[in-house]
Amino acid sequence: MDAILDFFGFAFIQSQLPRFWDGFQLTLAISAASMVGAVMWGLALVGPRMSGVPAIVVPIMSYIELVRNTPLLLQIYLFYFGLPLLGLPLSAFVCGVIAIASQHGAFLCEIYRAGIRSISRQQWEGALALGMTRRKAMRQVILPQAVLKVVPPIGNQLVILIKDTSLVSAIGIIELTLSGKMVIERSGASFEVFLFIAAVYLLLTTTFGVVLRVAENRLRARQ
Amino acid sequence: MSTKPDMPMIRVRGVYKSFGDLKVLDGMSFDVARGEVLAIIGPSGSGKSTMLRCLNFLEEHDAGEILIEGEPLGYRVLDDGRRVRESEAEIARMRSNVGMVFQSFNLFPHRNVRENITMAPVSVKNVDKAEANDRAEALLEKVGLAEKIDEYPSRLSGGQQQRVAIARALAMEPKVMLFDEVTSALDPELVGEVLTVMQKLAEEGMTMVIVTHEMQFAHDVGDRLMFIDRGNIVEEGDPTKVFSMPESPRLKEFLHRFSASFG
Repeated sequence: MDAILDFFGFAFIQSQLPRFWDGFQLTLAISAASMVGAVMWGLALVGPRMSGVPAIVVPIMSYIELVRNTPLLLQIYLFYFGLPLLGLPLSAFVCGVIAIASQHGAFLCEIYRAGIRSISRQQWEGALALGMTRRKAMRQVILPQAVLKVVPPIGNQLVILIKDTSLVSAIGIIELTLSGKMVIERSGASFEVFLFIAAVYLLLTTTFGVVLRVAENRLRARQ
Repeated sequence: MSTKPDMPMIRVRGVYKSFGDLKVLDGMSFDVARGEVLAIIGPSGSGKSTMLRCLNFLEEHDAGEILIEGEPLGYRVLDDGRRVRESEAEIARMRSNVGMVFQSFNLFPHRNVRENITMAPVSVKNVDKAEANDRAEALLEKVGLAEKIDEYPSRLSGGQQQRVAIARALAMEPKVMLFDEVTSALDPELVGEVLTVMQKLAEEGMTMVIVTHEMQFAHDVGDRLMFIDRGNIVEEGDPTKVFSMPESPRLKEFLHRFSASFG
């Protein structure tokens, strides 16, 4: 037993836990902030995206295609090194969160859109016939149903988001991945550390998945 | 907004509507008086549902004019004959005066019965929440579903859902109620409970336009009967007279097909 634990560098990892803990907390913070940002940004995009007005739809589609089809790492660099040139020297943390929320918000927008399109025309008519404007109908009748329908793909997207937070290590944020790298640089124990970090990410994403499923079932149970 | 008591509740003048090459409404003109119950019958594809849906602008007429209490619906026809589409807010405002009940109920599945009924009064007419709630309770009482107020629509039978849909439309205190084949999706034994509610409404003096396949009901509750075919009004008048002495061959043939269930 001791031999196995030693193989995974158990004692060593234990000695480094305070460093990992700091990194983990930062990963949690970045994940939470980007998640809220991405969910809201996606919601903000989907109305205009589906407005049917070309002058609005075309720029939004272009933006979505742009951020979906270029690497997130590059986008993080662009925000981090580009915003100061525009006179907006934001912290690495804020830049990282904006970049992640921007890309994942674009993906989420398309997921919401699929959900909205799956709601029948009758639901629209029911709402419009009561005197609601399209905006009110969307907010109160269509969107709540649409989001519930696409909870699984939203969950997938947010799991990817959690994993993508490791990319902000590239702009010097000492989150979980970078904290691991720093431990490795000092100790050379790369296998043990990467394995440990992978396990932490796994724990984080599966916990998130379970929470999401419970929430979904609760919402569904009411209908 | 001034209403014009001298105007009929609904005035339809020369309304045309096509879906692509298919002409659905071929110059329809009729009035519905305040408190009148107009029953519209006709074969499927005759345009009767389209006509009804035009009355709250869920279908947009291609030409002609529809007035609700003298106010143009959807399009304003200028003096030079040009048609100008009303703003979305104005269309929504007009719709809030016209209640509609659908064949497929169209209740909101993510909201319970109470919320289905209070949602629009609160968000569209800024009715106080408590007041909207009181009104919901009273309306459910009226349609005989007071005990279902906290249920979700999926837990109700078709007949119950349709009665909730009627209560939901009434909560907006509409001037007119439109019924679009509201019993067609129901099991036969559930039709009666919905028709009873509609009959009660008619007796209270609600202005109603009813598109239906229930000939007996059209006969009993309708003040006036209108037979539509191929986008035209073929015959209209007192229901008893129209049913007993149909003049046009098309209505005769139509009624003949229904004779098993009527007469």
